[in-house]
Formats: sequence, structure tokens, C-alpha cells
Amino acid sequence: MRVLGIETSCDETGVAIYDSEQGLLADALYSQVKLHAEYGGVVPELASRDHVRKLLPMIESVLKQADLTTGHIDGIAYTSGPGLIGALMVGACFGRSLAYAWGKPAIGVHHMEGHLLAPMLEDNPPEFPFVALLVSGGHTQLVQVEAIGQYRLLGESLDDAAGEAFDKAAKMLDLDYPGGPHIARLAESGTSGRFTFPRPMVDRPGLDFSFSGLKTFTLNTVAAHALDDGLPDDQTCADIAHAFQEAVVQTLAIKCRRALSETGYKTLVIAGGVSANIRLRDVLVKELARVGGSVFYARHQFCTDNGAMIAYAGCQRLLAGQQDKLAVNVKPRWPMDTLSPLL
Amino acid sequence: MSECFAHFASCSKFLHVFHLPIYSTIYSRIGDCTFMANILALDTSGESCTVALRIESNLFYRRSDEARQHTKLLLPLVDELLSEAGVSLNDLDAIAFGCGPGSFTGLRICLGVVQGLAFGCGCKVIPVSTLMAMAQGASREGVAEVGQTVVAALDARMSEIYTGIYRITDTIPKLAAGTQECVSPPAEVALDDFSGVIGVGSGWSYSELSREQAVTVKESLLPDAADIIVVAEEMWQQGLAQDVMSVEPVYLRNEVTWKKRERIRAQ
Repeated sequence: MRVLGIETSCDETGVAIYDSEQGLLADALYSQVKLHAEYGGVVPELASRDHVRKLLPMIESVLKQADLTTGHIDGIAYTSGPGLIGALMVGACFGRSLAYAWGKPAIGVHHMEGHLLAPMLEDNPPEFPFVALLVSGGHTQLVQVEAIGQYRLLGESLDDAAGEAFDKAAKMLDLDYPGGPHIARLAESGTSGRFTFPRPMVDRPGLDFSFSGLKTFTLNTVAAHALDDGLPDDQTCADIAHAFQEAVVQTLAIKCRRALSETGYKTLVIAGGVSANIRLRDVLVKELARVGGSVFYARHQFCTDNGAMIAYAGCQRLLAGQQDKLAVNVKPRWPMDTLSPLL
Repeated sequence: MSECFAHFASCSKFLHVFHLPIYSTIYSRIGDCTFMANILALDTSGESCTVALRIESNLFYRRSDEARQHTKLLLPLVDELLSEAGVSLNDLDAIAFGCGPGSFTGLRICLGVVQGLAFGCGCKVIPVSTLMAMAQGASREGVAEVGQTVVAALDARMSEIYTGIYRITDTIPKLAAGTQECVSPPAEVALDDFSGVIGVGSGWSYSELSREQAVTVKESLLPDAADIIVVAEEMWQQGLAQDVMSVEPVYLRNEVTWKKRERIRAQ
């Protein structure tokens, strides 16, 4: 089965074609990062307007890339939640209508299920069951995954998502949006041990996270070392970035270890934008190797939002006979454990 | 027609269903031209969701006033109309839609569906101004006659309105000379050059919009696919149908963010 996947849940327009026999045939991504950078975060109205502009040319482009005509597509998958409601509506209305016009089945895909299954697009995919750490600008969740659609939420952030904390810390250090890559780059020149930031909620049982205290700690540290222009000197900024990243990475690692021990699983999948963080990957790989576990993650381009993961996840559900009716239903909030299993 | 009513009467208390023989004067004007386009028209620019379908001499129509349900309603309504007419998307010459101004989200729901349908079946699209459609509505309802000026105004929120000043002609409404559609505070809409205008649309609920020049005001007249399709048929005849790749919503309001971030240090 050959599935066209469409992702428009936030500030990236992603379109891809996945074939259940031949794998990924085409993939296109347009990032609006530059559009939103000057506002320090995603402006929903601008995001929606840009998706409308980009979708059709990108559909044409992936069909051309894969050397396919419209008759060669067997189904369409689109992100139907969670995400920005206006942005979701663009991709969902378009995708559902295109499937109707082509007389093909369509399915709305859960964005985080897409992320969770993204490592399946790699040559060495993980096997079920596993624990997934979903970590992005909108989510920080630990999920027990028995099979596709069989999810149990083990823990999640009670306030800011880890990626959101990166963005906010970046703003305090006068770095651009999105903050993750900028903090990571600055942290490389930071001095280890100059600052020690708290590891929130690691001293109590459970698998929930909280990053808002860490954010306040960062703000106070920046203020305590600020020069006349309100920012610390460049080296101190780097040292703060280093300490901040280390605190987030170690907190995530401690909870991942705990989740594996609670479930008895040996496999950890990390997905979402923050899973592209090299330091996080290194720490998790080393720590899990010590206890005989292994870590799986997608290539860098499939850690952030993309159409390929939606095409893959949609393909699995369409193959299982699931499909949506003509009414388009987008869900800005959509708990993952309410998804239906594949029968 | 009675069957059609009976069948859909149970669907929704909000749903209006019509199946009408065409009434427009445009067709008599076309004269010898035997080819009439098969056109589907959609509008979700406001609170209502309306769909009209013209197949040969028949007009099929659906309307739902259920608020905030456009994504759930639009495609099923299109499917119902096509089934009722016994045609498929491939029988269409063009898809027309209310391209704005109106609710930003509503405009995008409509265009998203239009893009999917038109790209999927390879037909042309006809973007129709919602304000022009309202002027056409004033003509259809007999509120305005040929030669009269209609001021179509829609509430744009944030104490502003979208306005278009149209002159009713023997075909479709035309923008009054020297004017263009715009968004502004109601008090800034200049109507001094006009007299005896017909006011239509929700924008007229603002008391700041001067009623001195208005002989009639009908706030409840809003964009409707039944009027969009009439405008679209004339635009089709004039060769104004477009490729789906080239159309975008007409928002009129393009200032949607205000606070830009100031850098602390130059990069």
C-alpha cells in the first residue's frame, strides 16, 4: 500500500509518500522557522496561512520525486491532532478532500504516534514492546508501548515541555527560536561544573516531569550575572547553557531508566524534536548500555515534525482496515492512550 | 423535489435543502450559448456552511447553520449534493468558493477542501468575493435593483468591518468606480459620494457606520453559496476560472501580529 502523508500540526509543512513494500519513496519538508523567529515563537495565524500556501506545490513535488501519478496513491494520512487547531484544519481538510476526490481511503493520524513510530522508518527499527520518551516543544511524555495503538502513559510534564523550556532558556540568553539547537551549540563551549542546576522531581517517586522551576532558576542565574545590557558575558552565557542542558538531559535520563525498570523492558525509543539533541542521545546510549538496554531514534530530519512519520503511521492503520468518514474531525488535545489498537 | 425534502428533513434541524430550477437572468443573456458550466460552489466564510451545485438547468443547495462545525459538515454536504444530482466530481467544470473576506479559519477550511477536490479531479477553481456575493444576494432577494449601490459590510471583529461598495448591473455586481474592498473602523467608511445605498451584512450592526445615505439595511444578508454560484457562472463565461495552484484566501487584514522581538545584542 502506498500512502501520501500530510503534516501541518504546527510550524512545519511535511508531505511524504510511504510504500509498505518499498519504504519511503519521497519526502518534502518546509520549515516556517524563519517566519516565526522574529516573534520568538510560533504565531498560529501566520502558521496556518503558510500551510495553505505551501501544501499543493509540495504535493506536486513529492509525486514528481517518486515518479508517480495521482492514480498510484492508495490512501491518504493527515495529522488530525494534537496541535494548533487552525494549522491542523488546513492539512486535514485538504487531505480528506483529496482522498475523496481520488476515491481512496483516508485516516487522521495522532501526531505523537507519528513521532513514536518514526524510528520504524530506519534500517534497524526497534521491536515491540518498548518505552518511548516523546520529547518536543509541546510534549514530554513517557509511554509504555506494547504494539501500535496500545499505549499507556507512564508520566508526563506537569507544566512546560522540555522543548519549551529550551526555547524559553534560549530567549533569556538572547538566542533565536527554536532554542534547542542554539542552546546545544552554545553549551559546547560551556565550562562543566561552574553552575549546577537542579534536576526537578528526581528525588520523588513517579515518572512525571516539571521544568518550570528550572526555567526560573535559569532566569535568576542570568539576572545574577547580568551586565549593563541585561545579559551575562559570553562565557557565562555558555556556562549557563551548559548547566541548563545538563539538567534537562540528566532529568530525562533518570526518568527513562526508572521507566525501563518499572516496565521490565530493555528498549527505549526517543522521539520528537528534542530527541535530536546529541548530548541526550549520548547520555541515554551510555546509560542503557550499562544495563543491557538499547536506544533507538530516527535520523535527525525525522526527529522534528515531518510527513514521513504520518505516512508511515497512517499506512499501518489503513492496512489494518481503519479509515475516517467524510466529516473532518481535528483534535487540538487528544490523549494518546485513547487511540485504538490495530486488530 | 418533495422526495428531496422528505429525505433530508430528518438530517438536522439546521439543514436547509433546496432543489430549484434556475432563475437567473444571466442565462437569457447568454442567448445562443448552449454550453452551461457544471459548477460546485462552497462557502464557510461565516457561521453558516452553504453548498450549491449547478448541473445543467438544475440548482441543488444545502445550508447548515450549526456553528463551528464546518470541518465536519462541508465534505458530507458536497457528497450529498453530488449523489442527489447523480454526478461525480469529474463531471464538474469548476469549483467556486467564497474566497473572503471573512473568518480566517472558515476561509481556510473552504479553500483546503477546494484545493483537495480541484487538485484531485483536475478542474478549475473560481474564487468569488464574499462581499460581491452579498451584493448579488441583495439583488436576488429584490432588496436592490439594477443601477443601485449596495454597501456590503461584514463584522471583522476588533472594532473593524470589511466593506465592498458594489453597483448592481444586469449581470453580476461591479465594484463602484474608484473603490476597493477594505478593512477599516466603521466610522472611516466614506459613503459621502453615494446616495440611496442598500446596506447588507453584519457590519451594519455598528452604529458608527453612517446610515444617512442608506435607504434600506439588511444585516441578516450574509455570504451564501447560492449567490456565489451565480457570480461564478458569469466569471466562467468571462474566462476567469483559475488553476487551483494560484488561489489564496483574501484576508484583507494582514496585520495579525504586532509585537516584534527586540534584540539585546547585535548578532
